[in-house]
Amino acid sequence: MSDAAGMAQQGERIALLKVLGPIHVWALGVGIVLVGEFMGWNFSVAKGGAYGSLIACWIIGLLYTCVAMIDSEVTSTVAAAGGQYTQAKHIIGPLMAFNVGLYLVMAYTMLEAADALVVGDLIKAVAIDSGYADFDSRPFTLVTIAFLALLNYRGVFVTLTVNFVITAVAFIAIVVLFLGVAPWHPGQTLIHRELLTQLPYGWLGVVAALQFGMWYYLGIEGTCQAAEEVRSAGRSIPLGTMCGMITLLVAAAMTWYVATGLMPWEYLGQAVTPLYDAARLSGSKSLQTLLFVGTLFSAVASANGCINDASRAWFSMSRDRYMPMWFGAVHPRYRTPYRAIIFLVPIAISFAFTGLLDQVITFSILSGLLGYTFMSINIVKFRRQWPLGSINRGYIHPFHPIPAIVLAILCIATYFATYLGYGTSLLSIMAFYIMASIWFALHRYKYVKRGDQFTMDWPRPKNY
Amino acid sequence: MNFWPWLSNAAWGISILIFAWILIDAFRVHRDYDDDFLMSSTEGKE
Repeated sequence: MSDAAGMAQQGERIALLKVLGPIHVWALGVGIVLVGEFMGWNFSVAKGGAYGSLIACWIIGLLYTCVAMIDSEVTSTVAAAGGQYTQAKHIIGPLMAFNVGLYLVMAYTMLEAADALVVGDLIKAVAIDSGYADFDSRPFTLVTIAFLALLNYRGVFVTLTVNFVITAVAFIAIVVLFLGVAPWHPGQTLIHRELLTQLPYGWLGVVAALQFGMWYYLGIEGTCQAAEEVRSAGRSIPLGTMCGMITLLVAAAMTWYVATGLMPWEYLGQAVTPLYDAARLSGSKSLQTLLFVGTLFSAVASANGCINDASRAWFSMSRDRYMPMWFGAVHPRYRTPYRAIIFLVPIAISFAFTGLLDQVITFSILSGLLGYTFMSINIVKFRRQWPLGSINRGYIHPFHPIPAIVLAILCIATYFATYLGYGTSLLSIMAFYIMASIWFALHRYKYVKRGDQFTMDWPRPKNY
Repeated sequence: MNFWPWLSNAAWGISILIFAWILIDAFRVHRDYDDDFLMSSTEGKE
């Protein structure tokens, strides 16, 4: 993409560039999520045992399949950056839109911080292994964020093309590990018969495991943030999202099968890097190296996608004056929301430098969960106000309203699961969003141009 | 020279350089273009 072709001239209206295709959408969605296969999902094993983790994997897989289907339908008609924020603005109202926008920004910024922390910790582990005990991981956390911020600043096409490459490498690493432990010869390397046990904490443990089951898939809904930069939103978003969801279901299944066949649940439930540990247990140095690279790449890809998504959400909110409009600027040469990218970087760095991986991740998960709850309400209103045939939909999800009902029920179950383990965090985060909502309603909303809110070329809603 | 301290210092230095480049570029854009133009992007329109 030449600079001359991309350079906007003063006097024209500036816009984000429509340069992305389905593989970029796949790279964005899977890239954000795949790190959860390399670390984090296994905490569900500590809650519910290996079988509890598997049940959580299926149930949360169902939750996210509903998310992917619902999101694909709405996003195929709402071709704008901001994703679920823009959907909420059109379908529900400004206060819901503000909250959803904030969920997106916080979820992705916190996840970016966590990913950068992981990169620093991985390099620290290598340093300690080579005999250098006195090691500060912060410069590597910082340079990760700096490099990815620069990539995002310089253009979305290169950002997501790089993401495609490193995400593909990370996924291939999981596949190679799966093949490398010879699953077709049970008992040779994988010893499920010896390691799998009954549910250690019963069905309550399975419920508690749901929270960490989200790590297999958390972030796939981020594909819709690319809606304003794809060449064909009606085709690319559903195709990239659904292919991404299938990729994640396959990766989750392989991850669970390999890890539970090599490690007892008591160890697996607290391992920091379960797939890397599995590679070490396989006895193959090549697999060990490959899985280290895969873990590193997955964390970098996730942080990269998070910077992309958080900045688009902040940019969209600013463009609508939900946040200061100054952040709604587009770079004239690189056609990126550069001020939004710059603004969110110090926030991510400050959270990453706390070193509190657990708290940062919990904030991200809960913000995401609030967003999924909104989606179930959103699609019901969307279908009711704009029935099939009233507007052009690039994708129509099947069996409505069953996915919306299933999604709502599973969200409630996951809130309960989160309350069991992180009740204080859950209440704190709820309080944060309530305070933010009060600020928006009493102070910020007066700056919003109400007449400019509805931008989609849709007919008047049914019965309006 | 010990490799890891050198690498750490390099990481700090590269980070500072990257952030400096970004901020200088953003300042140049702010100086050379009207804010009305930079913020003229509209949702749903090219």
